[in-house]
Amino acid sequence: MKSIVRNFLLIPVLVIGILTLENCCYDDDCCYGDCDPQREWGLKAVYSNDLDDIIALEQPRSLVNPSKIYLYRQYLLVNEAQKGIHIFDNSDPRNPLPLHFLKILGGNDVAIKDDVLYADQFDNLVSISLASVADKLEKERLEDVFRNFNAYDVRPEESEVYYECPDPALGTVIDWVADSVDYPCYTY
Amino acid sequence: MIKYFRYFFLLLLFACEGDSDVSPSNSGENTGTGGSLARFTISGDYLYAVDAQRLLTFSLEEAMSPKQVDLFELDWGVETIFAMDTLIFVGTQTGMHVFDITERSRPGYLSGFEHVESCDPVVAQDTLAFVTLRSGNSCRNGINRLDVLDVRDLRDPKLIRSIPMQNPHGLAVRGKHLFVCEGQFGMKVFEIQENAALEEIEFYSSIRSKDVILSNDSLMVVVADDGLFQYDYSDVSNISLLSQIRKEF
Repeated sequence: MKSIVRNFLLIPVLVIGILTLENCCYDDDCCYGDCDPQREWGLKAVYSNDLDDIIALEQPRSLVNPSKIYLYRQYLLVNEAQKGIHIFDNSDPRNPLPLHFLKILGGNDVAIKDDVLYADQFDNLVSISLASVADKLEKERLEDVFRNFNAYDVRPEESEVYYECPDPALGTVIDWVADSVDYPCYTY
Repeated sequence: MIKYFRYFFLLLLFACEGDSDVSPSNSGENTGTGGSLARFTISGDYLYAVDAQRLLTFSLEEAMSPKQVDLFELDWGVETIFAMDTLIFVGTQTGMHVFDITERSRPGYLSGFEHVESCDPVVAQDTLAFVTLRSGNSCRNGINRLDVLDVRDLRDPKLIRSIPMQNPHGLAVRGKHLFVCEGQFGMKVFEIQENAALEEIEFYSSIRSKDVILSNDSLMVVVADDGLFQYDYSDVSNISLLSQIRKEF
């Protein structure tokens, strides 16, 4: 009975998967609204599978979309949805000091044990050694373990632009460049 | 038409994912503490993570190279995970699931408690579990309430009472106090009484909150739409602001 229920529950997943592809205009039948032209000047995704492009220690930045929070030793971590993690020295909670922004493209969740930080990176699990922050950041990735489907939803910051619908199979979108785009998506 | 589908499935995909609240989901010297909206939690040498419909278990024996050792399929709409001792509570849009992790590499399914479709983090303490149900544009049903469950029999959690709420997000429990984030409306503090009755003892409309972590007997970290706030809650009737990091608009 349980397996029947499970199989039944798989259906919406498959449907969503198919709709996702359709949303992303991989075939000629797809056009938006009142049939936009199939080739537009817009933004083309730049993909990478190089972890150095996807995970990096950067200067602190402002909170834009704070989501998950995490306390570890004297540190306070705040996830910036899909972008990475703000790290504060919270030794004095009256005066938290911004230390770093740990860029993790596609990251939403975090947990730490023994100075190793674990995070989701779209459908991958990444591990980052916090002991290595002073040097070259040590990081590993276990690929394709999660089914979050959020990699399909990556879009440029700009509104009202055509852009290449992301294909996660090609890698993580690390940038956007102006180009002509076939069967584009559109940001509203 | 495709456009509508698009919104529909975006709704499905991201239902309730955006916000959640915090409570201590694990503690110990070597690991940290997340909020009640967390999807990752560490217990012992294992990382437990939920994606949209599954509970995944990873061995952290080789710290930098986690290995997936187990996978448990749940219903669609899994949102949060909370660890208490040898138990894991998973909050989904249709209910709460309880797992036994006495055998850490292989969570054993104990029970499921179904409720109306809604967004719902869960926290637990001793024999009680607290679940918030929230309405919102990404949460399909328009129910706003706090459910209190008796989990003495882990194979058969029982609903003890439901308390109407305004827009509850994350929550945290410590000792006899339960803190519930009411989104834009503020934060409520309940006292848990002998018979598992909850008495609302404070309502801070100024503490807008999506999630909360109680880190010790005094420090409360709150995330809200407009930023990150830290409070001293050692006197729950007089919670005071320690610092704030406002988001950029």
